[in-house]
Amino acid sequence: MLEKVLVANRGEIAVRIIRALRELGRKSVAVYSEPDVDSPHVQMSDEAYCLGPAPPLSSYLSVPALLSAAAKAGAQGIHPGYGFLAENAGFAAACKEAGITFIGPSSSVIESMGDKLKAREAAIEAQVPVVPGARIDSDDDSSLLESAREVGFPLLLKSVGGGGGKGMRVVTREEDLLGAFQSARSEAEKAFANPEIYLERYLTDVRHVEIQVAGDSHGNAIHFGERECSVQRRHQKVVEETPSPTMTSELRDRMTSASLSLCRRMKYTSLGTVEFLVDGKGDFYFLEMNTRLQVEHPVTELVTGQDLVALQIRLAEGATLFPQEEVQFRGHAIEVRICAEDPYRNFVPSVGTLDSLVFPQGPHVRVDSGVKQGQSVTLFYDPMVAKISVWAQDRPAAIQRMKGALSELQVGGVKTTGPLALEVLEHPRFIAGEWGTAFLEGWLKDRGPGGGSPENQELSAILGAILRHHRERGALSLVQAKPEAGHTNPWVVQARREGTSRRI
Amino acid sequence: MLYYSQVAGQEHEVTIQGEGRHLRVKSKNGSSDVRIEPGSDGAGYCIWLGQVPHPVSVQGWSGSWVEFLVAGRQVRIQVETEIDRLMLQGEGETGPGTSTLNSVMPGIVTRLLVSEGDEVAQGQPLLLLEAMKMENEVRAESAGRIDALHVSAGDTVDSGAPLLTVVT
Repeated sequence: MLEKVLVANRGEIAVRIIRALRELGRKSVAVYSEPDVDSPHVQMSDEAYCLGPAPPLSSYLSVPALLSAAAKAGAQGIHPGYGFLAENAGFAAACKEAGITFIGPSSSVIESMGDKLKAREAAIEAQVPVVPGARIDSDDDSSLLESAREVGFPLLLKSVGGGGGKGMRVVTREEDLLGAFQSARSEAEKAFANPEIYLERYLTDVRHVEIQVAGDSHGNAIHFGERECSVQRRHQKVVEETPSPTMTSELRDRMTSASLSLCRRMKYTSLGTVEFLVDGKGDFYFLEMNTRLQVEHPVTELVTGQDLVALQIRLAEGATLFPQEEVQFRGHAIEVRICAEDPYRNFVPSVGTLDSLVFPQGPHVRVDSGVKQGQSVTLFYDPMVAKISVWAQDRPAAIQRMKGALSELQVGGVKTTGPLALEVLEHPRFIAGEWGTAFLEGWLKDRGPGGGSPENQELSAILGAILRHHRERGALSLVQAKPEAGHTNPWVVQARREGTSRRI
Repeated sequence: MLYYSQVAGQEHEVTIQGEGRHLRVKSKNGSSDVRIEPGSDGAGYCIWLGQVPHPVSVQGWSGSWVEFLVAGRQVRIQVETEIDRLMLQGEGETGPGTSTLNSVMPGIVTRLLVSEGDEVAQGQPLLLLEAMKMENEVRAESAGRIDALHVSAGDTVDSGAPLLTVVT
């Protein structure tokens, strides 16, 4: 049993892992970069250590700093979360060398699944269909072009070392290849410390469907059904749900048995996700396997009633999996990612202080958040600040519940993708379940960057005028009060000011 | 006080009387009492129009532009006063032929792809700007010559910061 586990991550996922550890009766050790010192994950932990300054390379990506914190705390295990070092085979190996259990598969499995080409080979061996592609071995421009021509345009540049859309580019024309290649390389190097890029045929407007799997160290493997993740922008998932509205039980059987055959072949001993592209004909292609906890795992938890993070920890301790029949599916779940980006101005990052923050509540509404009111959203880390997930007995009811939840969300000081998700949920194609991975970007292009036309313009005009009047006429607003907002209740400040002006 | 609110290209005239938290508002659809209260959990506002509550969170101000969230919807509108409009008339244009490219987002300049004096084509990548782990290519809006670079690699820039000046 791992009595004490270090959580090598930040934000909502660190909070999620600490919750699982607490429920299992294990002690948690949080780590943080200097600006994250007051973050929820730090305050929730049993003990916490500072890794270093804000840049990820000096903090959350620093293997020596993490291992030294683990040694100081006497942690027996390390949970990497997702992103950062979650799919870094070197880190898993370094943990093992230091005598610490890495909560994930073995470093050799991470290495072969993290290397997109080796993963393809493994998929082919396990008789899982794959997309045409090629690896770029040299820096030589002519060999790049040659491989690109072989694969064919449009093509996708992908980082060999990582996922999550980082280091990924779509190239439709030969003349854009070199520029896209260079910027993908530099992004990949920064995100995963590995600049290698891989080419793949870009299948347009297919669906992105993934299978949640788990394997144990006794040769068992089971699945937890699929997640539909086709609502994407720049390869970043925006809305995820399960079950997939277009899934048939025949296709699900084929996809889950392909995923399990890959798991068994790899001797996979942890939680993982096998990602596929599915076309309109019911053919599916292996995309990659994520050897870690997935951002969108809550939707699977909501329909199965399982705690996947607790399971992942138990598997690292050597537990035996329960039989497949114990995984029962009930109802429909949807997750929306809340990112600090302006969806009406080309998704520019929205940094600043979270002046106000109210999350939705209510039956079957789940919020995974790693931020609190008064905290700053900085440029150093992933823009995702929270996830909202809902469960309901069927898809229409889940959509209604999510619309209600999103209308309760209040975030001040920073713009988020919440309002965009609300528009997606109201889109006829989303409601009908008829869309592919090109749906969101196509729709955003058609409706222009302005978007967000308010339902009631007269009301917006009035509220805007009231806000300006309130801001300038003696009342101190939350936004103006920014520097001291963290420590002073602005309403108290306002009352004080009103009192003063009356005295004068 | 008379305000001109621009929403989706349409102008609405709104008159507000009073100060502090109790106001009176008039628009073409009639008038109503206004009460401004703190929102639930002490965050944001709850603006009452008569008997109807509207929870509002302000995302930010930029001059006369305000962005706020109401019932899960993002609203971006311009609210001008008479004085704003008079001041606007006095503002001139910058010199013909030069334009300064400003950053649309805060970020870190990771690489400059052009030097001062370079001739650039429309759509040519000029520099790479990294924000939240994503690298963004900043491209030339039109063909021209790079007159001045205002940033170097490694610089952190705010939204709206001048990046470079192009002579067209």
